[in-house]
Amino acid sequence: MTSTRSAGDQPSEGRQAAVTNEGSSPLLSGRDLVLDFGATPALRGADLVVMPGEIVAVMGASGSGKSTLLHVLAGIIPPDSGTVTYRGTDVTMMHERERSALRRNAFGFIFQFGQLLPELTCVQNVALPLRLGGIGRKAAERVALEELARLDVVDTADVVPGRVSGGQAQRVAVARALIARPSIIFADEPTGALDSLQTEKVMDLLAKAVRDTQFAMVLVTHEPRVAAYSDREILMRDGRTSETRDPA
Amino acid sequence: MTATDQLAAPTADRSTGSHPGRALGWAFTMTFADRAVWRRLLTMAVGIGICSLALLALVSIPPTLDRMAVTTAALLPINADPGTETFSYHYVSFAAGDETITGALLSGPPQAPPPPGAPRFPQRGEIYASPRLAALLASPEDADVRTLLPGRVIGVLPADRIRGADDLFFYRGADGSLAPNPATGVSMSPASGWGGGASNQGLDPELWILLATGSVLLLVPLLLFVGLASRLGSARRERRNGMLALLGAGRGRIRLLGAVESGAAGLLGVMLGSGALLVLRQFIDHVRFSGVGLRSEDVGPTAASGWWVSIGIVTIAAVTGSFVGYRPADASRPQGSTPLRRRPFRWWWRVLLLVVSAATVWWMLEQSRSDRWDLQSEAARVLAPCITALLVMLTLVAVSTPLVLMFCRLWRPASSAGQLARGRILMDGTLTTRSVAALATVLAGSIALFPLLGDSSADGVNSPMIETFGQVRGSVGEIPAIESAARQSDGLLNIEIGSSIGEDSNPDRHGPGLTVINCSAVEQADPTADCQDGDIFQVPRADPVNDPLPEPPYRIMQPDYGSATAQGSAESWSPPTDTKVLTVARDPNRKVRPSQLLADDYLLTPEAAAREFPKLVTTRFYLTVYMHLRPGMMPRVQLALAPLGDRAFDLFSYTSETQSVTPFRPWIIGALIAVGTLVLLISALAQTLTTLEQIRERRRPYALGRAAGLPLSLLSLSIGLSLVVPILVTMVAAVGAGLLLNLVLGELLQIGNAAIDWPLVGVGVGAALLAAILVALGATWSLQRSTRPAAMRTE
Repeated sequence: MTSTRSAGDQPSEGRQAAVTNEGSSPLLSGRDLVLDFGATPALRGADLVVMPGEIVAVMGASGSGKSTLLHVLAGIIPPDSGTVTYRGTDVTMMHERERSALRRNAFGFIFQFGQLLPELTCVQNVALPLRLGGIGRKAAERVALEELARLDVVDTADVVPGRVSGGQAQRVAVARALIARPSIIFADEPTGALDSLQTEKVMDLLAKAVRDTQFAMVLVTHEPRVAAYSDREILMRDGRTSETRDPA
Repeated sequence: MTATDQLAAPTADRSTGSHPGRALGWAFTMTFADRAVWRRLLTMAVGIGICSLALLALVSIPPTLDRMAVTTAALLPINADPGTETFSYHYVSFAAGDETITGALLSGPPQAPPPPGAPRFPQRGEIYASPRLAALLASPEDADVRTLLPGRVIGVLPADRIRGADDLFFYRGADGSLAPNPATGVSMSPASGWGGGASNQGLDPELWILLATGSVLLLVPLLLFVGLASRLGSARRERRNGMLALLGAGRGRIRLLGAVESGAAGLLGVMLGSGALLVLRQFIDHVRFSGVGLRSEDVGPTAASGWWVSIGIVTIAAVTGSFVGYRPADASRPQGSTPLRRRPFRWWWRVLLLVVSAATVWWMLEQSRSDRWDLQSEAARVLAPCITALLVMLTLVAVSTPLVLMFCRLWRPASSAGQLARGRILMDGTLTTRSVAALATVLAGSIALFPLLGDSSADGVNSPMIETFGQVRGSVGEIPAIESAARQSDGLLNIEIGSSIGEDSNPDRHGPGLTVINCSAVEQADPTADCQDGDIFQVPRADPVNDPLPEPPYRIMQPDYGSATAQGSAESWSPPTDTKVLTVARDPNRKVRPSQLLADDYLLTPEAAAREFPKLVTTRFYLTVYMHLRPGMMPRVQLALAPLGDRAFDLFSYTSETQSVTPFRPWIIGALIAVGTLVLLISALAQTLTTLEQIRERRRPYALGRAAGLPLSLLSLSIGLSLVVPILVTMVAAVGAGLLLNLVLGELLQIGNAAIDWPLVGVGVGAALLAAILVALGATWSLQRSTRPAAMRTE
């Protein structure tokens, strides 16, 4: 597979060091994950390890279990068996309340569409993670405005999501995912509803953010040119994972 | 049309052609192919069903009264001229516990025509009783009833010969104290037979106002509920309409879908409403209305009115559904894509309604003040308050949504939950506030109706004392004995006994009028008066300059009560020189108003009346009894007067002034509470539907938010706030509208000192808030289920 990543998107030196630092412990790992939806098996012993500062792309056909793996790794759905550890702590053993707090404080999420709360303006949506973290309204919205400005969508600040374009909404969602400075971003088809120009814009923004902040990112996609932004590609087939491209 | 043209025609139109039957068939197929239609259809049908029940009940009132009049007519005596009668009768009613016993005292020979259902004419002390009364009289626990109605039960009246199956009714041979004789005068009404009939007097204007206002109270929320239910699943329907428009279905074709759905809901609703009326009618036999029972066969609309209401409801539902189910904007958004520009909020008709309402209310008030419009005419007395109440309440409904939206635009919540709630209200304002507007109409209407229940409730509630009226027949000399008998009842505070005994017969001058009265009444009016039996008092006129007391001597003519007083010619009378002057306190705000008996110019104590008018043999005395507000006081006084015999039966259970609406008061309050509870339930149901719909439409963003760590409690709190805030804003508006309506109705009906039961209003608002909180708790459960990870895949 040919990477389409431009030179400017290459991991920074420090980040490359982190990615290639084999001695460091994984940020997140899922081992032998099994999950059935009724009679339908979704995961059949999937494994995935994410190192600090690493972008991992999960690829596969429709129904192969990509999104399910992401949900299990993020602690949204507990697996039937197997373990998910974040910084050495078993997430699967956590209470839902603890997992919710972990997602709020340490993880960021970007989905294909419809993730912004329709009742809130864009700036209120972006400020929400900080507000949930106990930061006051004015301070949170000031930071949110900065984040929106950084992503070039500050003009949408006082508008509700229903009135902005798909590309703008997605950039607002990226801003919301990044604002609390999470350790890992989980992105599930983040550009699935965008055209090629918007896809490039959003992925450039995400890649730059990961590079600048040393986040890790688990990126579920079926588009090779989006996967090309990653350091590693994992292919999923029938609920099982197999590595296809190493950062080397 | 060529084959090419046909192929080019839009698919939907081509498939159904222009044949109305096929178009309708297509609409039915399309409508019921959607599984989600049943939820919306059934919800609408329940709302329309309640609406139908209310309307059918309303149109049932006039024919029911007519049928009751026919039933009653067959049971009433035929009046006869004095001297031609075959028997005499006197109808009485008295309280026994919480119930009212009514009956006819009869006097006549054994061969007189027997009353309906009785084999022969009852003689002195013989009783024919209704089944329930017969059981009561036979019961060992009800000695008081036997004291009040002494005699021997000789037969039980068949159920079809009394007005209601559960009536407490009797015919009894009179004891002689009412029988005509020279000593007591003629006291009973002459009759020649039975089946005399009585015309249906219809309902009092006040009751019509209450019924009309109550109907508005009920119908407005129900119409709002139906409108709200029809908007359920609107996003999905808009997508469908957009797709149909894309395929070429015309506006009329899409509207037909809405009409079929709403029409079906209307038909189902009418069936539910009619069925409910039929079921409820079976319980009517056991309901007693102001002491009189109803027969189920008498209750119901006429066939014509029933059909018209049913057809009207189905038509209105179908027409409304055709407009609600399709909006022109849908066609321009195939597949229901989200519009970048929201539909503009329609202000013009709300502002127009507000202006029209204000102008109409102002005009009516001006008319009523200027006396140019005779508000005493029955039509005006009914129409003016009805139109006012209708306009104010419709305006309240119309402005409640913009009021809530205006409040939310100004509201700057600090919390995320508040921000979510504010955003939700601003986005779905019309849906959220419609259900609350229903409650607002009930609250405003309840406040407004107090003037109609006014004075009596004020005296009854705020005073530890009630006053009651009655009459006893007897001679002037018996007044002390009557007073003494009444004073035997524990809890009696005072008793006024008196009667007009004559007035000046000169038509060219005003009065004077003469009243015989006991000293207690005199002292009640003027506590400083020193009254001894034998005294005469002169009451100064209110306006002695323009309405001076004529100079004696007077030509006194005794009033003709038909059978109450002795006949006689006018006799000359001058007040004695020792006549005292009484200062009657005419303060209208006094809790205890001076008796109407004190309206005459001269008050004669019994001994003075006997002395001044020796020919005066008998009269009927009016009693005003003041007693402690205690349960069972009325029967206690009646029991005390029972030894006086049949002539002491007519003690009315009215409190304060004898308003025609007063006997219906418990019914009205019960109806208000029932309507309020019903509307609260409907509103809670509407709020639940709206909230669940909002959650359903947003389950993906909520699920994604929860996946990202958004706490469920925050979402729940935001839902609670988005329910409570509109309620608080609308309730404030409702209280304002209610007070305004209260003032206007008070002015139009010329009722002063209207009392508002603020604790009751507080309970109403509290109940609305409690309902909102319960709905929010229910929504939390739904949120938990709807925002599971699986919902993240929902589009």
